[in-house]
Amino acid sequence: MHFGYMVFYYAFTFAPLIILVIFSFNDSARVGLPFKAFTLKWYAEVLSDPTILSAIANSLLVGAVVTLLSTPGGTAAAFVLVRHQSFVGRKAFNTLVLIPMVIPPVIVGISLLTFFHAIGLELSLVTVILAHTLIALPFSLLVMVARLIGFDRSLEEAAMDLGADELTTFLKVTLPLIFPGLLAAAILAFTISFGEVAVAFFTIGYQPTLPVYIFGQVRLPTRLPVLTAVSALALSFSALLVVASEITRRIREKK
Amino acid sequence: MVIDVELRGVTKRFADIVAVDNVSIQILKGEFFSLLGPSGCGKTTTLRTIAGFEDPSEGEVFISGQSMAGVPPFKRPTNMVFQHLALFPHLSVEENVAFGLKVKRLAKQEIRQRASKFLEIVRLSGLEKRKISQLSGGQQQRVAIARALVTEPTVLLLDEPLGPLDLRLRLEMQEELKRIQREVGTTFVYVTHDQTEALSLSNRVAVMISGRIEQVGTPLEVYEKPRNHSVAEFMGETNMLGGRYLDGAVEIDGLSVRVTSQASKGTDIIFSIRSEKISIGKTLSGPDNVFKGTVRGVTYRGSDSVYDVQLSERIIIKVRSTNLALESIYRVGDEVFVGWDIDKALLISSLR
Ligand SMILES: Nc1ncnc2c1ncn2[C@@H]1O[C@H](COP(=O)(O)OP(=O)(O)O)[C@@H](O)[C@H]1O
Ligand SMILES: [Mg+2]
Repeated sequence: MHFGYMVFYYAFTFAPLIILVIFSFNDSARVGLPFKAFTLKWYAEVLSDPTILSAIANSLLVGAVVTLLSTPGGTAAAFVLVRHQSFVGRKAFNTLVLIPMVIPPVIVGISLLTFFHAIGLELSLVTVILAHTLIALPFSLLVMVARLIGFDRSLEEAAMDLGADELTTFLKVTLPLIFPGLLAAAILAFTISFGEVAVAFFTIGYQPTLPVYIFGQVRLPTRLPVLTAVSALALSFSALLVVASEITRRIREKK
Repeated sequence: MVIDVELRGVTKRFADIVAVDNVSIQILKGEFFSLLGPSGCGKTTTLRTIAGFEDPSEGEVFISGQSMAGVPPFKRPTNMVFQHLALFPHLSVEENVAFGLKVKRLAKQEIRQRASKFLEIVRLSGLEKRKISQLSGGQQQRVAIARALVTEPTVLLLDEPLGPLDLRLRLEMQEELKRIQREVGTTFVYVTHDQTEALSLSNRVAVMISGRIEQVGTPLEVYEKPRNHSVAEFMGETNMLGGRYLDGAVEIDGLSVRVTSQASKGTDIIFSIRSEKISIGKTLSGPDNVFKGTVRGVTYRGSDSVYDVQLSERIIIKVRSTNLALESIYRVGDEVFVGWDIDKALLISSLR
């Protein structure tokens, strides 16, 4: 019974992805059945298409910078929220920081576009990075708040008691113990940025990210097979990221 | 006598709670000193004030004669064994113990030597590479003790370290603590709510009640000569009796109880008589005070029993008696005699 449900659950969630991967190897200019023959030509086409390659590079760059900004940013905010009980207006702050999560992306996009125009900032990858950081921050914050709430502060006191100053305590006790949280927050931030299209669509300049590029190409039927190949690549990359982080976590735990 | 730790008029307030109330104590070098008191009386807060985790609202802490005002925990010559141990879960046994030495940037060779020496003292040699989660409760205690002792602090602060252990292990660890303290000679400040533990481990005991130190003395002194009502009531199992003093005796609910007292005639006094100082028997002669009574309640505890014996309409006293033989174990309803010598009763106060 339970087993049957889980089979259904996985089938439901993974079937579209599996089908995408299968068709990316189909030797047919039309995406759909029948499966004619196995080919790698769509992948070859991806690798030889400079616009796709640069879109991938843009996405990786934006994702990386967003991760580097939102992980420490969210973590710092989480420290303030969890540790400074006396912080004035903490309750209000608690709610406020999460509001961006529930605003529809299209509205976030338009408001950012307006904002960047207003301050005279030209649209480019920089504006996409700023936009994605804004989207990713509350998620990083939430992950780190969960981690910090469960953190036993007497461990930090024990370190200080044994002669470690604040910095040493942070580096040798706090940081290793919140590391799994940091890793989760980082991956979440990267994944959010890497797949985000709506807000990016509004804030992008002339250099598209991968989702924006795919979005622009999707109505051209001839491009569809190439798009399945590049999507399958992106998918494998995301999966790889999750697996790698899980392995890192396990290794650290074993040690 | 060298004084290692001194508290001078230390008060600690949290908002409107006075956790520590004008505490002044002097703890001698090499001493096993206990802070004994009921839960919530301010023991942990006192310890944290010595360690530097709390700043006193008033008063000052001195260690080795130096004022600790403004000195952060990591610069104080005190180490603490925390109530819930606070062992580092991401480090091995050896790394936990070596933590304080690493932070002090000692040479690798020396760190290893010292860590291994203290692991030997707490009898954990061979478990260096274990993770903390792979240790039993008793072994974790030992790691916490070794970790705190390895940097050779002037004072070791222990906050109810044996609390979570079962009785057997607790007794074993008490012996271990005594041995370790003898071996290293460090001053121990030990916090507990368990009076047997405090009395059996310590050179001196400070009885703390509601944030105040009510009495400081040897275990014998605080148990046998409680200075006031609160201490007498907190320590052991005691009967408090009160009445008007007249000519060497107190009139209580129709009974005339003989006492030694310097109280003046006609004043109301309270005295305490501990349950184990009272004799009980089918017949009883000898004690200065002997009363006839009826057993109203029995708590059988194996080696001894505690009886509630009704002496008069309003007076029921607790009597503890060793179970020497089956015949000397009484049952509810038995008619018995109870008695005590006048010097066994302690005058607590002339008023109340
Ligand atoms: N950080 C704190 N904030 C507010 N009240 C506290 C704090 N620490 C302790 N208290 C209060 O101070 C009193 C003494 O606590 P504590 O020192 O922990 O007692 P003990 O260790 O003897 O059980 C208690 O009433 C406790 O609630
Ligand atoms: Mg406590």
